[in-house]
Amino acid sequence: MAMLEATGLSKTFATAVPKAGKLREIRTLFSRERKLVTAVKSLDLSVAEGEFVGFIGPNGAGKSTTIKMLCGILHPSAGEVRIGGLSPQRDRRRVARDIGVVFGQRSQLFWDLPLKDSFDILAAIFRLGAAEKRRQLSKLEEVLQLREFWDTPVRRLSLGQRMRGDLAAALLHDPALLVLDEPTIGMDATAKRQIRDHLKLLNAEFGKTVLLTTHDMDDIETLCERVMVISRGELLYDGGLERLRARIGLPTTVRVTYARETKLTPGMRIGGGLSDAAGEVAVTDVQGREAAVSCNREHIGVMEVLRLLSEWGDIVDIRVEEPEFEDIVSRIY
Amino acid sequence: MTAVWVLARSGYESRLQYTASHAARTVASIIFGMIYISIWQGIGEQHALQGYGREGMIAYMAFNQVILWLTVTTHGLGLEDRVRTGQIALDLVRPLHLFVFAAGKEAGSIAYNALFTAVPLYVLYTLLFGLPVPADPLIWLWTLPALLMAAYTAVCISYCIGVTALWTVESRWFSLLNYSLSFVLSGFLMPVAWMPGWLQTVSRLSPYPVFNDIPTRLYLGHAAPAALLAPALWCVLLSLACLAATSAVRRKVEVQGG
Amino acid sequence: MNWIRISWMLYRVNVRARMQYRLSFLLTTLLASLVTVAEFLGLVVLLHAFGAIKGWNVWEIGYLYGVLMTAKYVYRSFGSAINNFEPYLVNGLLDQLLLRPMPLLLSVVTSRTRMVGGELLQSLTVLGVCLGRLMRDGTAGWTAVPATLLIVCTGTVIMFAVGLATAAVGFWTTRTEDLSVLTDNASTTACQLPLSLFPDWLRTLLLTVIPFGFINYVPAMFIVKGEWGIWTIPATVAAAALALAAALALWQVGVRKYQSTGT
Repeated sequence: MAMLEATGLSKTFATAVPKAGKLREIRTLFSRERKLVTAVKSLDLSVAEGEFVGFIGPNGAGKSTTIKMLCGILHPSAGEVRIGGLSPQRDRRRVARDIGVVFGQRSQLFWDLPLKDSFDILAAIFRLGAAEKRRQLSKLEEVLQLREFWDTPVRRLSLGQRMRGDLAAALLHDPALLVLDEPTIGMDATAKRQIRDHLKLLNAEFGKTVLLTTHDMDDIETLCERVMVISRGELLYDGGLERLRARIGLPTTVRVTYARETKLTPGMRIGGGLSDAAGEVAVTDVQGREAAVSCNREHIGVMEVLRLLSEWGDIVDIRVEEPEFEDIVSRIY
Repeated sequence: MTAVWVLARSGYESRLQYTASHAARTVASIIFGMIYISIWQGIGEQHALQGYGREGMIAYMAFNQVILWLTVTTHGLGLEDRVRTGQIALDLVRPLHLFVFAAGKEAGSIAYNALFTAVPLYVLYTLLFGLPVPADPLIWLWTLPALLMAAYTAVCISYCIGVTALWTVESRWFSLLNYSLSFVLSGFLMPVAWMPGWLQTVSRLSPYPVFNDIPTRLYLGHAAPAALLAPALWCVLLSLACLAATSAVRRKVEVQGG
Repeated sequence: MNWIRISWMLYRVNVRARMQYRLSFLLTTLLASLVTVAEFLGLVVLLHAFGAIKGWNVWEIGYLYGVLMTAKYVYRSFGSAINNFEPYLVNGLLDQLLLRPMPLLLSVVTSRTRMVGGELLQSLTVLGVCLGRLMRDGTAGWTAVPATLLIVCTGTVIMFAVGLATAAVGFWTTRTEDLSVLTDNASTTACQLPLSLFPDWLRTLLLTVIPFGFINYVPAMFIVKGEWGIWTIPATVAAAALALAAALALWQVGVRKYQSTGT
């Protein structure tokens, strides 16, 4: 059975339209004009029990809005969400017991109190019995290694420590589904690795279903077997990480410096005699003696590209770059 | 001077973004005005209001409501946020003096208040309550500097409050206290001369009459131009206080390591 | 029953969190009392200069003030989150509260605590002194005591209802601070004095849309003035109930419109 299911999920917001031009100050003041912005367009998705799913897309793609609708924070303009068969909007309080949510940018811990106090409060709010609470806490202490800062006020914790605390807080009531919104944001490499190890453990050993949004592609590559890509409110890809890789191929930028100023211009396509399978080699940027071309290594080797470029002059320097995964995703779609 | 102009413009424009809240503020201000005016209409029915009369007192309250908007400042000139985010360390490195920076921004906000709240209220009150418009240019000549000095005094006080954010997280309460004190001591409710003796003394020793009592009496022709001396003195004293406050900020931020 | 226990626990937690900054807590308490004293002084100065206003003597006006302010600070003691709702909408605090398996309104109310001991003491003193004086003068009988207790309760309900409705408007407008200046501060200022002082439209407003007139003026016309009949008491209770029901309904609709903060 699907742990999480959304059908036809949509959300539109109304925002004010600022005026431009002469006397904009005064006209904005009296303007009542509203614009409808569609943040999420008829989204269908489903997550099965035990899965670890990455949810990615560029900023403003509708990720946060979707996550908030899935958790019951926002009411969809159309469509429906089911978590364990219940609607998080209609049965908000029931569903809240079945999900654990972490927003990387915020904390649900009590800022001024020692970490352990937050768990007493959350245990009361979620109505855990004394025995259950003890059992959960000793497990979480173990898994997330909280003991060393158990008595420290939350405001003095490092970002990584705080996130471990927040993960524990989200897991205290033993939810089957964990929703994580950018859990590694702002952390250094060591802290990130640690959090990833914890998340892996929670999924593999404790059977938690995890839905994760992130801007960090290493998070996705080390954790997720399945990826959903959203852009402009629409689901563009849903499937294995490998297949997404294959679909995107291996986009590469080759930067060369010629001995003399080059005649290449941006937008030019080079290598007219190539077969279709080699795809396209396009000039993206030219500055004096430097030129950059984009190509896909799935279809054409770098050496072949260099041969093409050398027809335009003597090359004195070469650099090969792989752009950010996320950039490619948003550029392709 | 260009810097101040640019800052003022940005302060003014940032205020333009909240139209609904501006409407609410203006309505609230009109209602407050009505409340105070109604009170004096009620009192004026039974009491002779020495020197003012019922009409004069209504004019006094109405003009106070209008110029109130020139002394309404952002809490601590927004310094609290700059302290919380650590931006203050960068502000101090800027070639522009911190006070000029904060006051310049606030000037734009006050200009906004003047243009979009004070002036419409002034027109409304002249039409609705017969707030007199003086024909004598001399009256305007004395009232306008009094208003400028009132705004400047308010900005200085607010700056000193903002600076306390470096020492306490509760600086907002100082703003509230400042507001309450000005409410009682500025002559906002009634001319300072009508207060009980001890309160009159407190009021006259404080800078608050600069906000309401002095400009309004000048406007209504109840005060001689010599009344401008007190505001001028307070402007000098508070400017010095602001300079002292800034050097205290500098020391404190250096100690904290920026 | 359980929710009461949890609310009490959250209340203690909030107090403990505040106490982490002892100095700042003391400073806040001190400044808050000074602010209330200053506000009260405004009224005192007015009454000092003129004594009676429109047939209401100093003690009667003091009674109006006492009832209004006591209701206000009882409301503030538990409703401080409602009264400062804007940050919940702007900073996404509400998101976290929506993830708790508690009734939302209870989550909001228990998320913030303000200690109002000083202010409450002051308003109760004014109320006690004025009521005592009125009873000694024979203007009010002993029944005024339970009646006053009742209207402090209904007054608190009305304060809460108006605050809640103002907060709920924030679900549409996000900003509520300015609106609350209108619904809370302006109304409170007006109702410190007898409503008969004001023009019809303002009086009507304060008896309908923002029914602050039912906090003190309407019941006081019976309790201390004896000019209106006992019907004012059930009318006051009805007004409070109606205001609360309307505010709760608006809140329910608003929650569905909540937009949260985009990233």
